[in-house]
Amino acid sequence: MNPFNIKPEDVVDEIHEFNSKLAQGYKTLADLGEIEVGVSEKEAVYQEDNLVLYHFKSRTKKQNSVPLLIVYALVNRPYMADLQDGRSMIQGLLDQGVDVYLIDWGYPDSADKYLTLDDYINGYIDRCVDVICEKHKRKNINLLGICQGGAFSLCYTALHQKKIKNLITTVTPVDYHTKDDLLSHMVREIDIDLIVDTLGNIPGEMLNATFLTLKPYSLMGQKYVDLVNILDDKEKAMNFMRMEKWIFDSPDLAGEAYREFIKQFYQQNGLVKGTVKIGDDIVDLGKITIPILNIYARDDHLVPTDASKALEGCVSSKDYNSLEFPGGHIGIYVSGKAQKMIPPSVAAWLDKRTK
Amino acid sequence: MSNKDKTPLNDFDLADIQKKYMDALMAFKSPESKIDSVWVNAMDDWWKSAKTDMPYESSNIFEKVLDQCRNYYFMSEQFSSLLDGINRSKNNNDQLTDFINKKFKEIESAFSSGKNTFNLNGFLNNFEQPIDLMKSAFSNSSFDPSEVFDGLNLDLGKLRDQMLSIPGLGYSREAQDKSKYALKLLSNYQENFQEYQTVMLRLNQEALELMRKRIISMSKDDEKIDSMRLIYDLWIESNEKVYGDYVYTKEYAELNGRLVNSMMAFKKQSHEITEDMLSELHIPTIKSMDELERRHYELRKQVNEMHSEINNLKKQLQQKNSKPVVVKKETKPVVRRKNKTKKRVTSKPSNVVELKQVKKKVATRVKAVKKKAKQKTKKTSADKGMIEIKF
Repeated sequence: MNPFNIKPEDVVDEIHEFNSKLAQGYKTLADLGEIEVGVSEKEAVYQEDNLVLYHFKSRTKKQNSVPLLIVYALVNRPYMADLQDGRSMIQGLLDQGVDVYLIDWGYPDSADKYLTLDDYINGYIDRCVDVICEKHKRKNINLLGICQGGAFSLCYTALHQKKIKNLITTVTPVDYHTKDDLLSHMVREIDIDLIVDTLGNIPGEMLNATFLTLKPYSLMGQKYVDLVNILDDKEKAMNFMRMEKWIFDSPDLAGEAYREFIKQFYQQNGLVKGTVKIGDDIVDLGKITIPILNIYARDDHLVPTDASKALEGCVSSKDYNSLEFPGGHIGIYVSGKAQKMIPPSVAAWLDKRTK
Repeated sequence: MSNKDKTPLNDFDLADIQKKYMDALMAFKSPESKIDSVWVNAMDDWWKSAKTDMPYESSNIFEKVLDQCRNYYFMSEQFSSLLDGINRSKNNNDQLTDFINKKFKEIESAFSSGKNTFNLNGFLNNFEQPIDLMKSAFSNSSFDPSEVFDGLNLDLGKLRDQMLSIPGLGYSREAQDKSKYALKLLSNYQENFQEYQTVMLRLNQEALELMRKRIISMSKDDEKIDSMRLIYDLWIESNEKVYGDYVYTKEYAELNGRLVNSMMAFKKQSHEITEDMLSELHIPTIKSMDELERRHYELRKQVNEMHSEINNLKKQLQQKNSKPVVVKKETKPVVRRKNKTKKRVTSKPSNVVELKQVKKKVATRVKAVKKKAKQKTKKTSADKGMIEIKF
């Protein structure tokens, strides 16, 4: 049987319709104006080098007494957690009465190329935690890590457990050698020392290209043809442009920190093996005994679910909980489904353990 | 060729070499050509007139959209000619499969010829997405060698190998060796890049084959394709499937590793040569900046440590202000941290008791030592007949 149920005139009609949408899309994009990101009101409470620690303004009368610090990855920008009204994990948390702080790593420059994981974890994160503890007259706070920020949070908790009351990890890789971990597979044979010695800081474009290479035809091709179909709707076009802005807003990575992270985590799988060394200390996840909530995304193409789920077998926490989100690596923060699921679950879990 | 053009030292034909060099140089840049498509041409003409009115950020993304539209239009045109053929066959199943197979062969050969002559420039650029991404990934750091390899003449490669085998001579032999090493690294990268390109082209052909099989299987299962967009999606899915299966293999990890490592090795060497030249001119180099930045980093670390110590001391002082003040002796209780030179004064109230006890102990010990020394001196001086000095 002929599988083509298309007449020649249908083809012409389809292309004409597509062309009209394209012309309309041109008008929409030309009139779109500035693309704004980051919706929740916040103030900078601490600044060091390129880092800024933000405190978000409360949106409820009553708040959880233990503040929550969000540690974002060094890759891309943290406004993804606060992209726009109604598509913001931070807004959701504030609405649930969580007192939220966020570390914005900024854009590392060439003076930052020697920053190590020790500087990030035992330096920057530790000082931010101290600032919050001081401000709230507390000995410990809650910590939420996003992706690589989750791995940093795990290391920090293992090394400074007294300062953390509850730990939440979201789409965080723990086992970097699972079968379906394409990123890990791609860097396995790469000479990281040579790259860092040659480039110093790692260009954001290079990281971006690596992520896009995971699904090049969909992420660099099909997506833009799909865009034509929504360009007649200004709101949808703006949403697309916000995501596009975030995707390509990639800071460079401090060379030494990149060297340590890729070699120890991705190539040697040191977090599970207990061989990751931060400064003078070995990170032993088995030392973590505080309550943990591990959230992962079922359709994550960057951090496979098994890579995240491995956490349970590495820590000694008796109060360990996990939550599977039916979506992808980015959808877990920005999709409508996520807004209904993630902030309320996190807030409820924290309330139970902190009030 | 006259004899005077030949060098007396070898058989090289200078004019021939120059011609080969020019051919190779011309091959770097093939004449631009477009997809032969009415729809694509119309779109390109429209965009030329429209793009000036669009803000940069939007125009940038719109160009990405247009790139993909070219693919969509190209696929649509290819398949609309297939539809014509199918309509003429009046649903004869054997002829139908033949038409599909024939059309896919045409598309495949269009891709293959495009590879060599760039007559599918716009389409092929996107068709080779992983290679483009790889190129753009490294292009921001100095010279991007990948551009040079497009269309490199093989004869030039031979000549290059001959040149590289000549040992460095004279005062500048070290610089010569460095340059030759850079060329060897470039050549190594060239081989890896070509291998990568060949593999990607193979995957694209496999994707077309997968797409063909899917369409034939749809015809058997009585499934319908009712839009050109569906055909485009099928092409994307097939590419993603074939590519996705391949990138999980060890072969890909090794190929990717070789490509990136060889490019970095070349870049590193070319940086070194540039740095040498700049140093000769007393121009600041990356190496000197690196050293400055390293020192700056060390200083920042020290400042952070000092801040932390000062904060600790401030806290201790605050605590002390609310409790009895104890003046510390130099000997105790100074705490020296491992690898650090700063002093920390403890402010525990229990120190008051501790210090008294320490003083008492020290006094008792000094007494005992004096007594013992006195006895010893007496004994020694008596033994040796020396004069006892009291102090």
